[in-house]
Amino acid sequence: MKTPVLTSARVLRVCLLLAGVLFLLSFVSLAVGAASIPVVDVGAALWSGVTGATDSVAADYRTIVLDVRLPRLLMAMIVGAALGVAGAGYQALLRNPLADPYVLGVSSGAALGALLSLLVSARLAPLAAFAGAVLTIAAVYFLGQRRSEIAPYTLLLAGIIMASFLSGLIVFLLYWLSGRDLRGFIFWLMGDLSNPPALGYLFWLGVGVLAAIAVVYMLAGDLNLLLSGEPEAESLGVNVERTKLLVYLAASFATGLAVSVSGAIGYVGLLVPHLVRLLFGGDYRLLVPATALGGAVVLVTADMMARTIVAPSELPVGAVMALVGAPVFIYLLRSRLAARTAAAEGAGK
Amino acid sequence: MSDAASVLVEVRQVAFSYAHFHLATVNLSLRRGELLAIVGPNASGKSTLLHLLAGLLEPEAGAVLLEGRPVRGLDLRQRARRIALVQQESPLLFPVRVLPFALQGRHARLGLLGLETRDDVKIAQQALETTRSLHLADRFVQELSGGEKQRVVLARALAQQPELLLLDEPTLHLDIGFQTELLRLVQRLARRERYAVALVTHELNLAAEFADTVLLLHQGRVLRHGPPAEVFERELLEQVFETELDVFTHPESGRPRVVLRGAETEGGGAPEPTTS
Repeated sequence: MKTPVLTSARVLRVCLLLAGVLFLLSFVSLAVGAASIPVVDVGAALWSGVTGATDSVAADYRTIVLDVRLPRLLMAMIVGAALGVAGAGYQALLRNPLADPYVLGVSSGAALGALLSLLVSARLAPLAAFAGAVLTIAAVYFLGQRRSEIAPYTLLLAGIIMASFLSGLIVFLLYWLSGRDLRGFIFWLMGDLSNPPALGYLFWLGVGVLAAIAVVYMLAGDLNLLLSGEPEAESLGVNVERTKLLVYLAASFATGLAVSVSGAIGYVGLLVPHLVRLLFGGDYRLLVPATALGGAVVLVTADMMARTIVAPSELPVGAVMALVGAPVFIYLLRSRLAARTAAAEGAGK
Repeated sequence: MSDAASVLVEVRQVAFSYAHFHLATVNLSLRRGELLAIVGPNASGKSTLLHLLAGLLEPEAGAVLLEGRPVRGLDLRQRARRIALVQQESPLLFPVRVLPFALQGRHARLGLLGLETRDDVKIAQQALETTRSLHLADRFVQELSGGEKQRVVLARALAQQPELLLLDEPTLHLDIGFQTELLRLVQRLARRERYAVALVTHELNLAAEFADTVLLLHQGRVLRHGPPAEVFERELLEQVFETELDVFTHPESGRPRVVLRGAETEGGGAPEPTTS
């Protein structure tokens, strides 16, 4: 195989491909659900939303597409992109291929932050979720260190324990605050897309997530080098501390924004970067935009499954992600990390 | 070769401390085209000195000057364009192929969001060619043997097109064939391409054979600095390495050689096999 050198043409090609997939998937997603709508009418409904004309399509189709499914679709895209890029960012930052906002407990931290903010004002939720995410990843980072080195397994263990501890706190708080609100439990612990905010709010959420992705993207070249070790990266011209701080804040910001509207959806940040690596290679200058688009594709697909598998009822999307994600996580844990550890031990002889 | 104009690096009154370690004042200058070997026992401060030269550490006192300007004053990208450091290996987490790995050396010369241009690729390929590893370009770095990997890591440093090349134990884990090949290459880079090279090594004979100058460190002090023949004296080395050694001059190269003194057998009999 000829080594692909990353060119802008290749980045563009991959992104256009993924954007095309996402576009087609969006139509399907708007068409299927408890009531299925012909794709032509989906198009007509969208068009009527743009033009404001209401006579070209049945009013109930228009309502379902524009008011029910479109906000949910957009939310799935934004949350998927945010979690995917956050996962890719944490993986480079912590030099751990299994890092992911959910596994590390960051999503739970964000959920706890958002939940606490509801005691004061719901408007604070995104910021409180960001704060929760930042504090959690900092705690996991320090717990995961051994003699100032980040030990991969210790870090994962710290994250998993942190996640379960925070989940316990969330359950306790929910019980105390609102009695036995089952939907609340599912939303904060597993993630749920069934209650999207208004389009205007989604717009600003999208802007925030895009900004976070842009920050990670601008540091993508630096992240490539960070994976070869911090002293190496520094001697190759990377401002290591600045890069780490910015990616850490951007990834946590993206996670916080996502969790504040969708709860803690798992495995997107783990699966998507790995899939992209398998398909298109590991260069972060391609990985970041491809993971953003791929995260959107994966979560839109998962949401579609959540809405249709038990229709007319529906599953929380987090359950679908976990059903698919957990086996893949175990597979990665057993194959890649095990192989790498064995290789490291072999080299040490 | 003592013209001041060719001096690239000057270490002026540099001192540095860790928790339990102190590097006493070092003065040193390194010319373009000079190959300096830094030798000494474990924990004598070799790597610390190398990292000070690289600008990775801030001296406690004094300064490391690159053509008269403190290296710590250069911004990181400027520094990476002038100084390349080959460090002891660290594990790679995600698979990366050899050519993209060598291209990492171009990082400090790329623009914002920069992707490598054809020129960058050509330079990286030339660097691989120089280290005789271009045929590995499509392989994964993780799959390479120790010797192959070390050549690729050196190629990445060469792709930086630096003026100062620093190597931290580049021959670690390599067999004697690869060791000599690597040192020959480094010597050629210094002589022909006029790189200033400083390398840390435990291989005294490689240092003696290939280096222009040798710096002997012991417990954070420079004990001697000069041509190999001046540094490799038996009493000095025995004292520093705390073992009995013989030093003689190689009849062909005229360079010193250091060997273990043969074990004296007690009672004139055959030596007992030792168990450990």
